[in-house]
Amino acid sequence: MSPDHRPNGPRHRLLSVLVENKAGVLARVAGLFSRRGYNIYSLAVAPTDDERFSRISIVVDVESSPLEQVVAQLDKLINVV
Amino acid sequence: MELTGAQALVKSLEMQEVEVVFGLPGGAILPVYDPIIDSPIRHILVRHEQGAGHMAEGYAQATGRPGVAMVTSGPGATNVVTPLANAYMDSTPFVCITGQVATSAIGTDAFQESDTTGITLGVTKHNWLVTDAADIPRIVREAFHVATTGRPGPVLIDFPKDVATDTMEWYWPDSVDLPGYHPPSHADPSAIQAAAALVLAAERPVIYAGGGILKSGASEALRELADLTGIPVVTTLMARGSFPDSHPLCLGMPGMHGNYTAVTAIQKADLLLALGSRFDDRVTGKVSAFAPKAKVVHVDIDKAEIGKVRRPEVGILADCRLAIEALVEVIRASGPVDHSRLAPWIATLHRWQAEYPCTYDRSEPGSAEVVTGGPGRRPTLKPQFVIETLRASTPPDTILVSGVGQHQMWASQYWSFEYPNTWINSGGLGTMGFAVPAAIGAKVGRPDRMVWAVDGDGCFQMTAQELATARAERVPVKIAILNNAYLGMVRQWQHMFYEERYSEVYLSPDLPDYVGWAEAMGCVGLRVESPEEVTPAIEKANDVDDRPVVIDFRTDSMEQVFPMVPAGASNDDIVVHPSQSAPVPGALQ
Repeated sequence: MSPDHRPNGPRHRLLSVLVENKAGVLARVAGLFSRRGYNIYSLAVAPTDDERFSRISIVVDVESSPLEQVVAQLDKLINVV
Repeated sequence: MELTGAQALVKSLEMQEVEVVFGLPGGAILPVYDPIIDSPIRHILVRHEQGAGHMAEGYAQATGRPGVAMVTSGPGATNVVTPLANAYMDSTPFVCITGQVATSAIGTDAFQESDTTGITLGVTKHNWLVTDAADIPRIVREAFHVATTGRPGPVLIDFPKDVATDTMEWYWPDSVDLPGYHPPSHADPSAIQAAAALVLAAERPVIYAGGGILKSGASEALRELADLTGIPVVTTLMARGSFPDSHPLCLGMPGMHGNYTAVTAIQKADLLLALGSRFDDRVTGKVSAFAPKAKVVHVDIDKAEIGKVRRPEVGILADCRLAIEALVEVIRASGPVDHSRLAPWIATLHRWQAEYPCTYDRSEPGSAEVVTGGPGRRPTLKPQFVIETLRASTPPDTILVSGVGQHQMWASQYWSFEYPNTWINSGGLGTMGFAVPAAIGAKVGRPDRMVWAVDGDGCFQMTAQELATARAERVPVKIAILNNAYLGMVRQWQHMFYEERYSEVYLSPDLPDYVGWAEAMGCVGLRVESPEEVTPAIEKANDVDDRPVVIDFRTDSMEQVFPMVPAGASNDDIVVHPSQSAPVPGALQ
C-alpha cells in the first residue's frame, strides 16, 4: 500500500456524519455513495451519548470523489443531521 | 377516537387537504380501499400504476399542490418507480403510498412482496416504511412536508397490511420534527449585494431561468427583475411559461434544441444569472465551452446544485422567489437603472432573432414554398405547422403537455407560453409515455382549463390505455399525436450520426389504427393528413367537452429538429436549419 493510501494521507479525508438512529439509515448513506460513484475507503458506525443519534465515520477518497459534492449530497439525506 | 391504520391514513390525507388520489387497488393495499369509499377524497381508478404516478405528477405541475398516488405492493410498487424517478429529476411534489405485505411476512419472499423502500431509495427525496399504526399521522405529515418544501420531490410511504388493520388512537401532530431537514428560505444579504453589483456592472447579462422559478412561484418577481434591469431572459425546458414568450426580453429556450439567440446569448454573455436552474447537460453542451466569458450568479434552494457543474462567482442558497425579490429591492435602492448600457447587447440579440428564428420548410396552403411529397402528391403536413395552428386555435392559458422526443422539442419551440404552469413535460428523466396520463392529471387538477397533449406515436403507445380511465372518469383531455411512424428523435440521431442506418425505429403510421384505438376507448378519434384539415379538426376537438379526443396527425416522417447542438459539442457549434446560412463561429456581430 502506497503512503497515499493511508487513511490520513493526502487523498483521504474523514467525514464524521451524525445520523438519526433509524432503520435503514446506513443503506441510505452507503447507497448515496454507490449511486453517485463516490468511493468509500473505510466506514464505521457507532452509537452516541444521545440514543436518538448514531455517528457514521467515513474515510473518502477525495481524488475520485468531489468532497464538497459528497458533503452537500449527504446533507440532503433527511436522516443526516 | 380509535381508528384502524387504514382509516388513520385516509383521515391523514384529508387533513393534508388531498382532493384526489390516483390509484389501483390490490391485495396488500386492500384495507385502505375500504375507508376510501366513505371519504370525500376523489379516487381515480387507473389502468396501470405508471399512469397513476404520471397523473399525480401532471396534477402537481398544473396546480402546484402535491399529487398523490396509491398502489399495491410488489408489481404495483415497481410500476410506479418510473414516475417516482421522473418526479425526482423534475422536482415535482408527489406523495406515493404503496401497500406492503404484513410486517411479519417482510423478508420472506411473500406473494407480491418487494423491497419497495430499498428499490425507491435512489428515486425519492425520502421514504418511510410504517411499522406501527400510531406513527401514521406523523409520517403522513412529514411526507407532505418533505415533498412540498425546499427543493420539492417525490416521497413514498410503504404501508404494510397489518399496520392498516391494527388500531391506533387518533391524533394530528401540530408540527414536524425532522432534526436533519432545514430547507433554506431567505438569501444571505451580502450575497445579494454582491450579485447586485455584478448585475449593475454587466454589459452582456443573461438571466438563465430554470424550473425553480415555477416551483417557488417567482414568475412575478422574475418579470419585475427583468423589467427593472432590462436583462434578457432564457427559459429552460422546465421553465417555459415562467416568463412570457411575448415579453420583448424573452429569448426562449436554450440548450441542445434551443433557438440560436438563446443559445448564443449565453455563449457571449459576460454575466449569467442562473435562477433555479441546474446547468443540465442538455443546456450546457460541453461544459468547458459553456458561457466561457460569463461570471455566474447561481441561486438555488439545493446546496448540492451550487458548484456541482459550474463554480459560480456568487452562490446564493435560497428560495428563488425570496432571492429575486431581495435582489430587486437592493437594485431599486441603488437608484435608477441605466438601460442604455445594455442597448448594444439588446441590438445584437434582436439581429440574431431576425437572422436565425426557429424555422421549417412551410407547407401550409398559401405559403410561398409548398413542400409536397412528390409530383402530384398533396402537401406534406409539417409537425411544426400543427403546433403553430394548435396554439392559434386554443385559449392563451391552455395547458400543454408533451411526451419525450422530437414532438416535445417542437412543442417547446413553436408554442407561445404566456403563463406559468401551462407547460408540463418530462424534462430530466425523458420519460416516453408521460403525456397522456400527465394530461389527465392536469385536467383533473384544472378542470377550468383546456388541456392539450402533443404526443409522439411512439410515446402514445406506451401509456394510451389511460384513455379508458379518462373516458370513465369524464376527464376531457385532447391528444394531438404527431404521427410520423418513427421513433423520431432516435431516427434523427441515426440520420445525423449513424450514416442514415435506421435501426429499429420504424413504427408504421397505421399500426395501430389510432382512430380505432380512440373509439375503442370511448373517445372521439379524428385523422388529419393534409395542412388544410388541421384547423377544422382542432376546432372540432375543442367543441368536445364530454370525452377525450385523439387526433392522428399524419406528419412528415423525415422532419428533423433544428437548431441542434450535437451531443458533447460546444454550444458554439450549433447547427441551424439548412435554409439558414451557417453562423460564423465565435463571432460577436
